[in-house]
Amino acid sequence: MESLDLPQTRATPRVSFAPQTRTLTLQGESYPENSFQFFEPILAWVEAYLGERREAITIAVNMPYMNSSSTKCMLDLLDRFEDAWRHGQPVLMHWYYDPDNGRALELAEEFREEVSFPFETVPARG
Amino acid sequence: MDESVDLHDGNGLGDGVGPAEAAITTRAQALRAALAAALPIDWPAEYELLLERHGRLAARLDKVLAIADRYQAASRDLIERLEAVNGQFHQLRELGLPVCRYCGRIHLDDHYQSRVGEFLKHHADLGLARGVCAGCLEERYGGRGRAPLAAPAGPRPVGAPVSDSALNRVRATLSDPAHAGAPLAAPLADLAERYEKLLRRLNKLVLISDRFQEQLQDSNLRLEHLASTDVLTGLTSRQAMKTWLEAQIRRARSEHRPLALLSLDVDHFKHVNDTYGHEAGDAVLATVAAAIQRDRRRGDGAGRWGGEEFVVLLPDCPYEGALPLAEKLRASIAEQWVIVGERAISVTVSIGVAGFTPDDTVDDLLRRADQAMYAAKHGGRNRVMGTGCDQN
Repeated sequence: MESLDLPQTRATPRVSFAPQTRTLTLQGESYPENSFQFFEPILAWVEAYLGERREAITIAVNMPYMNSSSTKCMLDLLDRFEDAWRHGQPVLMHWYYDPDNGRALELAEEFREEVSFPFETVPARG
Repeated sequence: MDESVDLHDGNGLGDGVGPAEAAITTRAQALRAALAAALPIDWPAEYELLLERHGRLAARLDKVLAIADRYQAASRDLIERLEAVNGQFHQLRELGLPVCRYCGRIHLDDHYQSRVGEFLKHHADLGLARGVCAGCLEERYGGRGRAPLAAPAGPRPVGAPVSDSALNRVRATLSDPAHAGAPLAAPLADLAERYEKLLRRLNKLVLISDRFQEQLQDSNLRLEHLASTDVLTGLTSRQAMKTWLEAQIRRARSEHRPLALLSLDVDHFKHVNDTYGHEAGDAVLATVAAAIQRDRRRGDGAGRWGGEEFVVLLPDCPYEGALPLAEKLRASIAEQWVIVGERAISVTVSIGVAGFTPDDTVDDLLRRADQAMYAAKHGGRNRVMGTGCDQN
């Protein structure tokens, strides 16, 4: 399994996987020039991972802002995990949101509605 | 494909349709349904049609994303520019002519000229900056204190079940027991499911994108609010107030509406500063600002004009109506005590009232309100004087 570790830039989140805790982290804003290009290797990595591993996986998302195509890619990513969950793989989401931003929790709820695996919203400032 | 199937597209009856029309429409619909039921289902055509709509919907989704991304990128650019301008603005304040707030004297030191030169060298682009006017900020935030990041009011819309005419027709066909076991029923059902998911996804994306965009707009407004607010009092800054005054005067002139302006100056402010210190002076200014905020009508604009001078603009208010409002404000300030340490200081203001005439510029109106305010000062302070509409 190839490792996954993309550094955070101004317009793209840090994306990394910690094998010890089996946690996939996405941290930072996402508004790249071409979101599909940016997310393509991530989706491929996740598909490969879920294809060969059956252990529990945690996703930690802390993305205060996504443009529309990044949102589409995030929903596609959630679809992959949802499929795995429906096939019996334990999946857990920690979705971090800014409690000072009145809209952030509502946004989290919009994503939560799309999946049936455990989806925890965690307040996180800054 | 028989054109008659498209008749199923009827989207129900509008509320405005009368009972006679409703009855006719209902009968027509029943007739069409009976006709359609009698016709054999053209399965390949149904499949083709839904497939085509699926393709169109997918293309629409791509288009929506491309457009939304461009809007959002523009919003982000705007915010970044605003942040830069806000930074420049604060730097610029440091470069303002060093006038003492209290004695009014200008203290030019050797470094002043070189500081200005240095600043202009790096910020030659400064000069034009578009923004949100005080009136619009007022509308959104009520002009009170720090602009909050408000959660949208009301319950969030629950995702309604998605449907459109094509999907409805296919669903009706598939659920008809007469068509059970048709060879193309299973692939059509599969396609219908994919179509529905795509439709749901499109709706969801639009919803989420809207929320992200609202967030961008919020931060935008907050930044504007910050740039146009006087830090000490929370009232509108002089520059933003001037922009708003100009807009209100244009409106009053073109819509033939009345308009009044109050010029308000704290009495014996220098004495308060000299006797009790500048902190006491700041507390007095904050107290007066709070009283103005409290007493003004909704829609009135209040700004800090200079050291201890404030202006209140009363849209749609004639001169005669402004006088009692000014008097009420004066009285309410005079009743207040400002607590500084263990002392309670009384504070009074002199208010000048001017009414707008169609020939007035902003400066005309301000000048008349100021003249009236000085007349109130000479008349013994702690009073309201007016210049009406026709005294220049």
